Amino acid sequence: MNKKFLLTAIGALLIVTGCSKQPNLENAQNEQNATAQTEQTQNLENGSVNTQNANVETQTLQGTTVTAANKDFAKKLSSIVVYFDFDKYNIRKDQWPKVEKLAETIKSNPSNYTVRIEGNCDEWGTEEYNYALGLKRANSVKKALIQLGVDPKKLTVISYGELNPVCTAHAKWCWRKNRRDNFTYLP
Amino acid sequence: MKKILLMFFLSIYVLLAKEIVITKYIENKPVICVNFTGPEEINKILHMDFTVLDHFKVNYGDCNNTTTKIDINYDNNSHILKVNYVKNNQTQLIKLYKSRSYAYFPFLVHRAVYDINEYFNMPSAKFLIRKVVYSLLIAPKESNIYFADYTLSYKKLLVSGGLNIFPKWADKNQKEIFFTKMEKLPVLYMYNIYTGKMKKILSTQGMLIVSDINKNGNILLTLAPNGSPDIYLLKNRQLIKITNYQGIDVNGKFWGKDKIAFVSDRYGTPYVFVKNLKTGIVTRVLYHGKNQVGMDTFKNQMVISSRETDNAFGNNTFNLFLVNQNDNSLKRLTFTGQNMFPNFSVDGNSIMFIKRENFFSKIGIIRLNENKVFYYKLPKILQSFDW
Repeated sequence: MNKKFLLTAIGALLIVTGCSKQPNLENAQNEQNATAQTEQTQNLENGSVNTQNANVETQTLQGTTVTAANKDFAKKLSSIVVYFDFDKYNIRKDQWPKVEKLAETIKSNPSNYTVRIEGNCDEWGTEEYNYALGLKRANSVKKALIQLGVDPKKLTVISYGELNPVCTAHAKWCWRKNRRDNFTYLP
Repeated sequence: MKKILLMFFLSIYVLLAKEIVITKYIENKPVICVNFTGPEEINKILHMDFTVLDHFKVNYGDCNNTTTKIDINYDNNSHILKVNYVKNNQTQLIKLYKSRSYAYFPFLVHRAVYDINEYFNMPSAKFLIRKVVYSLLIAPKESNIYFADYTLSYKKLLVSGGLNIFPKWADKNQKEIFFTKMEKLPVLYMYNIYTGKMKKILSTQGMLIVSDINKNGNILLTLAPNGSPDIYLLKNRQLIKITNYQGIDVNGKFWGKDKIAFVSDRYGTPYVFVKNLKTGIVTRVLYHGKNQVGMDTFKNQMVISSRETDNAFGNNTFNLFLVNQNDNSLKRLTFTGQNMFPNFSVDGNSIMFIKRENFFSKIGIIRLNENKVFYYKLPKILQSFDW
């Protein structure tokens, strides 16, 4: 009786699954692909080694050496931070002396280097908007520095949006610290 | 006059009829019984799927008065999820879902629930099987890109090292993503999530973000080659400048056939604007709120996150509004809290967004046709995401 029932059940199952929609295994397939990829990488590690072409050519670097004076200059630059108001990219009155000091610092160091102006934001707003806001903040100081006589070739800008916070507490005093421009020495 | 009156009564009849149909639909959800055997965390995902889907009245385990029963079993050794469709004690269909690793089970469950929904011919619920990519800040100047299911239960690291931001699905099959890597200059890469192959697409001064891709493969980008962020259209390998404003224009989205929506600070604070590509005219979309930063579009619909209070910080309220350019309708979707970063699902039936409350964040899913919102906890604040 049990045997008969089992056979009927298997038969019914075969008919049902045969007629029905086939399971969609797209995701499972994806997972297999991902694993297959790992296996491919593993296969790459099973090769042999041949050092015949590994002849190292030595060349002396012609780049700028970072001198002690440059290190001091880099320190001076990083100590200057220009802060901004919420959702604004114009330079505040109380921040102008810092920009003037920055211009003097750059002009008094005539050697070959670049200053990277890094615009940053607090965590409010979408990242895309903040990224743009950071860029506008960096450009505001760049324009001001050019007006104050700094060679534009010495300046480059970058925005980190909200991705370079100096403070991560969810508080007003903390967000204020994150709305800023930093200045980095690039030899 | 008679004609106008007739039209008026006809419109009211249609509206009422639609309302009646909706009420009927909600009252008559198909009743199914789900009987699950397997690990509890898989059961948890299964419950979540049916809850967020909201298309069925589900009895878990209690199948006495239900004619339609779904037996689901997960086998830990073979990593196979078996779904048995039973009606009046007769097996109608058996479906098997397999993965190589145990960790991948959320995708198996989502696919199984998606198939159950399809089996009963319920409205599409593609959001269940969409893959999510997101970037997460792990340290200052360092963010990784991860791959996940919509519940963010599954997590796989895709790209790391430096700042990897703004991931966006490049194709409808979700095989490749675009993302921006901050090298000496921002660089746009295309990355195949299966092979790990990375292709450099574009590099420029300032900023470089993919904001939207339409079904024809045209791409909206935000670029700032001269320091001023503007919207550009990449069409047939040609870069066309869409906006030209000295301030900030970001977040370009295709809206309907011939419009591009974007966020701009041209009125002093950020608001959503739209540019008609035929006439070139730029207009503001929603005259409401103190600022509007987050926005997304789907065909003729647009969802906007609008700040409704005036505090620079603190207890501000951000709410979501749904605008439809077909009938110029406006619908408020949320009422309290900080509801931001709205993102339409691929079928336009759902909106994923992030809700901030005190010091915590939640993911919200609005099911537009079902008129419901579902939330689940978000462990960390995401930089950006796409699904």
